[in-house]
Amino acid sequence: MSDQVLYTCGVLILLAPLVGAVLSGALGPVLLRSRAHWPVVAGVAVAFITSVVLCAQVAGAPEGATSALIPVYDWIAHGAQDAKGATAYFKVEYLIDPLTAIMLMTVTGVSLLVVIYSRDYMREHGKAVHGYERFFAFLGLFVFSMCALVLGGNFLLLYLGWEAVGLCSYLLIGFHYGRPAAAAAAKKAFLVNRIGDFGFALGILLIYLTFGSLEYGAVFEMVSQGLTGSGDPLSGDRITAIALLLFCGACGKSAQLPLHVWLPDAMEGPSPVSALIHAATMVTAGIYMIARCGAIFAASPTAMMVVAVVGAATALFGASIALVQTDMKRILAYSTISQLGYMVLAIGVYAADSAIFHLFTHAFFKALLFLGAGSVMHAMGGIIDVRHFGGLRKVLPWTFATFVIGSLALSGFPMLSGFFSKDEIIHHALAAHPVLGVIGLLTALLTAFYTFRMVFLAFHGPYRVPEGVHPHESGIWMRAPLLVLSVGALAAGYLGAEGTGALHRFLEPVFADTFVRNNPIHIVEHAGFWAHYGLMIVSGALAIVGILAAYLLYVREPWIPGLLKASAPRAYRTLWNKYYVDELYDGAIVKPAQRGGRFCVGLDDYGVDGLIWVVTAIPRAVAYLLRTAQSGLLQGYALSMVAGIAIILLLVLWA
Amino acid sequence: MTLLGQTSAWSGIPVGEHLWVFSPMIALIATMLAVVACPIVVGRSARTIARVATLGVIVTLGLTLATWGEVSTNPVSGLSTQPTSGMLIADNLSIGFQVILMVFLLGVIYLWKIGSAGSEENAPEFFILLLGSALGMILMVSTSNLLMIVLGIEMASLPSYAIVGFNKRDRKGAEASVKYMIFGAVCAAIMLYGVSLLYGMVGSLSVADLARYTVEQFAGGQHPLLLSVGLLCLLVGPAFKISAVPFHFWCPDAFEGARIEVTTWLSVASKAAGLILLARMVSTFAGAVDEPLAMSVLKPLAWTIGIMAAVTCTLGNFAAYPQQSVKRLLAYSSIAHAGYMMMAVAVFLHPQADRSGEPMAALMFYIIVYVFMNLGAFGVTALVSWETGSDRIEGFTGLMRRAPWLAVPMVVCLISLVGLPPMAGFLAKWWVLVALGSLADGWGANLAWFLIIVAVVNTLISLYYYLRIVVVMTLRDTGEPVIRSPIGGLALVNFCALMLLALLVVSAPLKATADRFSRNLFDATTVTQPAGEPVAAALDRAD
Repeated sequence: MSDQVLYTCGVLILLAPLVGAVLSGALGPVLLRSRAHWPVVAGVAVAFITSVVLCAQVAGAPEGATSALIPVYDWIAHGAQDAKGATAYFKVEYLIDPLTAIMLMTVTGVSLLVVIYSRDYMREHGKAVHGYERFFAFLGLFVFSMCALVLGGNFLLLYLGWEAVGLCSYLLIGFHYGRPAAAAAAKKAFLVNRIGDFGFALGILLIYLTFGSLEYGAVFEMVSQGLTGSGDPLSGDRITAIALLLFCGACGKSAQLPLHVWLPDAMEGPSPVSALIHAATMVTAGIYMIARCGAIFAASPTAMMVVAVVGAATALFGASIALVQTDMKRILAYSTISQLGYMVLAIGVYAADSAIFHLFTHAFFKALLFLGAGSVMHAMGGIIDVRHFGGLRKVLPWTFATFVIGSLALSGFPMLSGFFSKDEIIHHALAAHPVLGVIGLLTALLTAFYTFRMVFLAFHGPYRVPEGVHPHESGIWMRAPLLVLSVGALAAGYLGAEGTGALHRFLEPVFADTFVRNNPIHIVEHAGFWAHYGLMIVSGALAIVGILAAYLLYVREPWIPGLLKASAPRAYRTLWNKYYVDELYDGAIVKPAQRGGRFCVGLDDYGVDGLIWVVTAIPRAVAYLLRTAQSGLLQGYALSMVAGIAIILLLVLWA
Repeated sequence: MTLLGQTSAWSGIPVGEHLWVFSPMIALIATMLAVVACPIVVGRSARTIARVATLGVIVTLGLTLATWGEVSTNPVSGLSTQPTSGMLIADNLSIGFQVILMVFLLGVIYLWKIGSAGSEENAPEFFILLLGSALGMILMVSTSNLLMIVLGIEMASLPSYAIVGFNKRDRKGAEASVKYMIFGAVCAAIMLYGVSLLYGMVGSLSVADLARYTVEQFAGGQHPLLLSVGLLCLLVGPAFKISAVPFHFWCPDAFEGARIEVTTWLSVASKAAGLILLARMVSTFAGAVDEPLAMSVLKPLAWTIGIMAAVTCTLGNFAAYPQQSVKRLLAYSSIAHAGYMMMAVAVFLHPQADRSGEPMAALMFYIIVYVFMNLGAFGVTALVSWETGSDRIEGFTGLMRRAPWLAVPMVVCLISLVGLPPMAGFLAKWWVLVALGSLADGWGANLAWFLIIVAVVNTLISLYYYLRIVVVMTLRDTGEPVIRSPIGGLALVNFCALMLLALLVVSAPLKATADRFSRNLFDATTVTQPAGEPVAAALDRAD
């Protein structure tokens, strides 16, 4: 693991997608047109290959040397020069360790498949849609931003990447900016994220104020020693405040309660965007950030408890809403919220490696499901509501097959990727607190049920489609990524599954000093078959029960759901309306804010503008006077000059 | 003193060494001669002349860089028998300025080639004047000798008068040229009067001697009238080049009347040269005082320059408000920016600031960034006005649609001129404020806070008129036809915009360069006497 190789890798991973994006954006409208995807495909492919090389480098490093800080250059000087005349700089630097390597592989790998998939998806009847090059330029920019977020070696770069992915998300949700719903969704995502980012920014500022540095290494070292930057002992409240503020940012980006509202609406973006940004990569930034700041979070039991509780609540909350939704992408969105809840829960119970494991497997099957839903949407000409079609398995065989694989993995069907990672999280949650564990199990049951409800509604039953729609299977550019992701959804779990556990061993050095060392939970490893495999069997059984229940309700006895709906109308309406969270926010926050806004507009139009007119009247009057002075007559100039000299002389003599 | 009475001017001067150090200037003179010879040898084609001039400037740049290594460790005060008060100086500052100036000159020549080469009949004459003014500016920053200062300023000014009115048939240009010349002549007369007064009092042409004399005279809070008048008259020279108030009247008229390449050239080069000359004189004053307490005798000087900077900056911004011509607006904006940069100069007269080089680094940083901002903004204005035939603000209407490759760099340059992130103009202003802030304790506090407040308020004011252009470009559209510009011009302005972005992303090397320019400032201008040896002995030994 030589620094030179790592440096080159980092530069390539960052610059290749950026250059691709710039080329697509700059040359797209004039030169490339419908070939505008090529620079980005090539750029992301280079980034992916480099990430694999990087991962191999990290994996091949000797024990105890798996982490490296690679300085790139000094950016902006902060603080005064010290006694030796050296200036403290905010640096541009990479931190490369197993966590970075795993994240980079996931991000660039999924991105590459999504970019390939988009080549066909962003065409109608073989013609590139309006803004084709813009779409790919934004995707490339997103990959760059996400890699910058993951690679950055200090909080400043983390924050920059964080904001940049937020910007890309905004641009891509609002890709069809002509549609009011898309524009509103983009705005909502941006504003809700701003709330989280505000907390995040405060957290980073508090870190700087407390430790006088923003470098991961320096800050984490001081936290573990319990000292502040000035050498005073670090108070517990301060570290809890920092952790909670950072977690606020994670809540926004990773769609945790109560800031989850933007994610379902973000489905207004094109499906590849949903797959890439709002399922597989960007929303995991919050998970990554908490895992990266393990030293800070693990130092505060209070913060860890909050993290665990929020995660568990979000997991159950998202799954319950997904039970009754009918828009495929919306079901998947709530499922994403729920799965992100699992990951946050895992970190909250000190099992960060399980969280990253679930993040890794989830990226495959959730991207697969979103791309599958996109394939359905593409075939149906933009219709995605399962009430309007059914029985598509015959006309979309490839999509159906891969979608089922993804669904099984999401449900936690035994021996598929989701099974292993979810089981681990439930295992740790149970050890931490029975309630958390039970919530985890219940969510697993619900997950299997709503996933297969969607599958059965869309693909089973009699063939029916709206009039004028002729569904057709998509081309090879869209099918190939589905196939590759299916393989991932089937097999990715074995990287971390019990028995091999390669992923956990790989990640061990990252968390050894933080989550593992500070873990107060004792997991008693019992000998014997039932103690060891009991939970696995239970969670596997729950998944199968959920799938069978969905089969019973939506294939065998389709009258039951209607009965249920009629027998508990209030519960149904609550779930259908997503617990009225949007309405609550609308009434409690948005409406008052709008009223305040209107007041401010009025104030601005009459008060401030008037004030500005008055204030600018001074410069305008002065300017008028100056214009008269600048008359073009040399005599006047000479006079003014002599007067000026005289005034200065008087000043000097009197001073 | 001894210079004028010397029997043989060259005795005791190590000419050979000095010629190598001053070879960039010689190369520039050779380029001028080549341009003169060109019509005889290869004809008067404008493009050929431009090529010869470009080649000469590149050679000059190369020589500058080649000599830099030697000069940076061992600054030379040369072409005199006295090592401490030479006629010409080659140190980090002068070399740094030469590098900036030559790079900028290349940009200006390129702009000229795009816009005017096709219609220009008198290219050789134009280039002699352009290169001549460049040589004058280099002389201005390479000396701390009063005689050379006068010569440098005149050398820079005379060709400038001529190129402002170079197009004889253009009435506006001719008028601007005459005004500029008369104004320049008056300023030169005042400065010469001051210099003669000072020479009479001090008996030496060295600024270092003048500084020591002034410190002696000013000690105890006295301000002798004659000395004050002399110093003030001396200040008129650089202030005229900087176009500091009240010596700024020539600037808007000359900038509007001149051809736009010439305006671009004068707006940066002449001001930068004036500022560095002023900074060198001021820092020599600061270097002449050793005990921090004695610094307070220079307080009136600091206030004079500080107030002048504040007024310049404010007036430039206010006067830019009602302008309808973008060229004239940018002319006033350049007055305002000269004010910001002059603030950094005012900081020199401070006990802590004198030797750290911090304000000088801020000034150099600002000048480097300013080169790109102005080249970009004037470049876009030039390309638009060549196509539409007018440089009015209305000509920019809907530019975002008509020529996105012009509008985007223009937005970048204007935002950078305001001094907002994420453009390098923000860092430039930031370093000036930091330099002012370092002054904010001790006796300089009042001045520092005064200047900081003025700078910040002015930045706010300037937002309005810069963004007016952005608003017209992006939010208004009257369906004017698309503008097609030569690809070279687009490349130039987009390169400038890219540099403004890049210089923020990678600012540390630029800061390091600026720091390097401002190292060893005092080695060549002040007497560096070995311990225990009186000044007189050091001088004797040098003879």
